Amino acid sequence: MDISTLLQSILNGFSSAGIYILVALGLTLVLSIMNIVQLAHGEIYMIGAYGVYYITTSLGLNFFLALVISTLLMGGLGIVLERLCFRPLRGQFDRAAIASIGLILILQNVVLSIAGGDPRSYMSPFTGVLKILGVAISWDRLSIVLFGFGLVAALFLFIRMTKTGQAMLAISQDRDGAALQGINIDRISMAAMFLGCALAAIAGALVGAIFSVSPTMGGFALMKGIAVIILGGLGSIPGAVVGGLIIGLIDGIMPILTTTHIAGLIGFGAIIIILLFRPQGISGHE
Amino acid sequence: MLKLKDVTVRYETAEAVRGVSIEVPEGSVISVIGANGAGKSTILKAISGLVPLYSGEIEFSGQKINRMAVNQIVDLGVVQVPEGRRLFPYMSVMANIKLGAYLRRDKRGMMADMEEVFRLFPRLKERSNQKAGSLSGGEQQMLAIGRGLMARPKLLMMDEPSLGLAPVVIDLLADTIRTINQSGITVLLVEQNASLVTRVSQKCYVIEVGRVVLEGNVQELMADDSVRRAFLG
Repeated sequence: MDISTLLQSILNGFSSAGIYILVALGLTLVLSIMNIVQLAHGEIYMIGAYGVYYITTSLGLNFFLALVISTLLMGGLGIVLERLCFRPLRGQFDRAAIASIGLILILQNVVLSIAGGDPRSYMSPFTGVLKILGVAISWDRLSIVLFGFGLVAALFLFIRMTKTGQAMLAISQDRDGAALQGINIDRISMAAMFLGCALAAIAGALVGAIFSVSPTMGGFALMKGIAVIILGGLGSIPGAVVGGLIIGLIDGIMPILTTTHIAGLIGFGAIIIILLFRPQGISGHE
Repeated sequence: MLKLKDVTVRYETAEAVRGVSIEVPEGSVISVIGANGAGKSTILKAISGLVPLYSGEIEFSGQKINRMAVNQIVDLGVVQVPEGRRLFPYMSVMANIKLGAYLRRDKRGMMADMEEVFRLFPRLKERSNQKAGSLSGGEQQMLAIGRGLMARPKLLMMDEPSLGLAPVVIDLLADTIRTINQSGITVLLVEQNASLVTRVSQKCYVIEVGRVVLEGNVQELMADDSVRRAFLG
């Protein structure tokens, strides 16, 4: 193993981490504000990618415009889902989980019937390689790192600096306490679903640009996202970032030491070991 | 100012509040006193809109509020400092105080009120960057009250503010409640601590298993031995 391979795989780790974090942030926002696990989160990610595919190939728009449109559409879908499906089930953890499993089936099959089961692909706008100290870094991977961490920074600022962001934090820490300050829980839940779904759509669109899109691509994202939020601490935003980095780097680096399958095993093994010592997750409370 | 007319609240299994009528005149400090589980907190939750009424009506300044959303009720100036403080423990003292003013748009007024809260509770200013969960019980109660004041309430409802506080801190609390009332805010106080009630309020309602069993002048009620023995220990 030479240094170039190692750096390359570290970069891969960071780009996986970027995706995992984007997915996990949406899950954790919805979880902490609405008290539900939105298991169809991976399907939003998948449809976000298909959105970009159709907008770029059928309408001929460029990738960035397609990304913006698809992200806003998925955010809108999030608001519709909150209103119609999750608001009546808020706080009812098990029922909401079952409803979201139903959503997985519906959304997957709608996409399957429209787009078919074959993987589709579209061109990444980021092409070519960047050479640093003799190490070739592909722009498409690097773009995910920049996008992912840029969005994380933006989300941190949003939560810290805006009233809506502070209201989200407040609800996650004490729901009735927040309501008694005049915070409209319904409206903040809608904002959380919008943000969560928009982040998932961006993640899906970025992954679709590197690999391909298929109706079942969401399962992987959901699995990683859930692993990340459990490792990081349920409902914790910094936890989602740290957890995403750990799992992303394990996924990036382990394959060069062993096979991909063993690497997956080591990844989840590491999570189990960390949770044995810190059951509440890395930055979880209680 | 606030009128509860024959209010009944039912939880799934039982009636928590049965036909309670309470009147809080503007400018007064009215207390609701009773043992644990008597339904005192439920009354405040019903006023704030956190639990629906089964029957009856709640009126604030002539306006029916018992079907309004929690945030609308806060917007009218009916603000609650809830039992157990319900602070945001992992946010700073400052962030908690600012969230109290969540519905307000007047930046200048908010800054002035914040100064006022810090004048009332200097400890909060010293600790403004600390996490709310790291404060002592007394400081947390001050923060909860300060946060409530930031909403610029017309009616401030306090649910067992003395709970878990040392006697010295309860003295401070009594002073604070009087100061708040003198600044023109009507207070509805729910308490178990008889000495706090006698020191700050004029009229008192005694609640037992969800019903008002006695009401009247605080001094007279406290003079009544049977009341003291039955409800106040």
